Amino acid sequence: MRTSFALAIAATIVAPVLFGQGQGKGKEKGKAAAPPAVSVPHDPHDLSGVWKRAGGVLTMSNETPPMTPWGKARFDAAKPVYGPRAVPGGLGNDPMSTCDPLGMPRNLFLEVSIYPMELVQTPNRVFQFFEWAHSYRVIWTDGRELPKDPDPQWMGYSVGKWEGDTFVVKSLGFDERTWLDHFGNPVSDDMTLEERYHRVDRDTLEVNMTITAPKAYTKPWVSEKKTFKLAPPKTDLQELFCVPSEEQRFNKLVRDPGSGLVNK
Amino acid sequence: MKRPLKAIGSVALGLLASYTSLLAHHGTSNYSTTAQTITLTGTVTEFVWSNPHVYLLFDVKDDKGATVHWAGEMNSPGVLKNAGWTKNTLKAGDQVTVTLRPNKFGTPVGLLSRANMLVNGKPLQIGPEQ
Repeated sequence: MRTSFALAIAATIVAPVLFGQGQGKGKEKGKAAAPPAVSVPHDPHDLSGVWKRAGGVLTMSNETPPMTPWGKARFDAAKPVYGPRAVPGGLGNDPMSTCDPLGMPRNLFLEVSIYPMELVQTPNRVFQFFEWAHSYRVIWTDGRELPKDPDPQWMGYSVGKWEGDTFVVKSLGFDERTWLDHFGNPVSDDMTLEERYHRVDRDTLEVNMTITAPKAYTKPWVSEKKTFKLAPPKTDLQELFCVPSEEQRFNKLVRDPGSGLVNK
Repeated sequence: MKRPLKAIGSVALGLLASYTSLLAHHGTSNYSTTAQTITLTGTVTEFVWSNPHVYLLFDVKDDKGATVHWAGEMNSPGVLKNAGWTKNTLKAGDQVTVTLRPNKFGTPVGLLSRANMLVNGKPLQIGPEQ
């Protein structure tokens, strides 16, 4: 049920965000269908660009693996504000409601459908900038190994290398205070994440992910294919901090009274 | 001050225009999930250009002449900026007619649509309709 709701959100909310302005055009009779996209040469080893997700579920996939008792306890303690277990905003405990970082892989689920992310390649690392919360992560490409038993980080530690035309990113050392997604699925500090980025054409970036987190899930969780589209030229990432002081006033004046918590 | 929505004046039910861009980081389950919206006319007291949400504070007279302080939640400054808005698009004292998706608890807070807004009697037309 949880996962089907994720699909429902994707279909009814996210997709219209992305495609709303184009709705109806395809229904116009008497007009020729749009020609197929022109194949524009691109360097498959260049992921640079501003990207937005184009639909899809808002978690790894519809196939949530069974949870361990620890994972189930974390899941039960989570009070999400999205999905079938959603509570009003003021009654939830989603870390992002207090401007905590989303972490990974959550940064690649919902927010990137609305607020884009940008990939920037340098000789020894790839930067991934997220408009949401004005945050970024570093993917090292200088050949270093992942650290052994590192202290947890919100974004974890990441190294990447090319396998053919696929950029493979391996990460670990995550902070288990994050949630995996908006539905309160857990992250554990033993989680490893593999992301496989493939720019199939100039305008399309596909990402497949696998998490392995034996403390939380009894088997690896393989994602559906996530598709990103290149944003129009001149799309700039905006300054979208989650500002705690502004959030507090917003909560007092909007979120909490709108949740029936307090009277204005 | 909690007032049932039915006691508030200037309320008209309408079809949900478009709230597709109003995904809130704190969720939207507190707001009506129906296709019904309300339309309110009032006076802006503050247009709050803040992160991660912009919101509009405005006063509406109810059917007994009492002032109700409303809040209308909007998207982020960046999203509004891309749509052509600025922090000066609305200002205190403006007379506005806005469409909102009300919350389920009867408090004067809603998700505010940028579509079909009137400001000082004139349609507000900035960028593509959202």
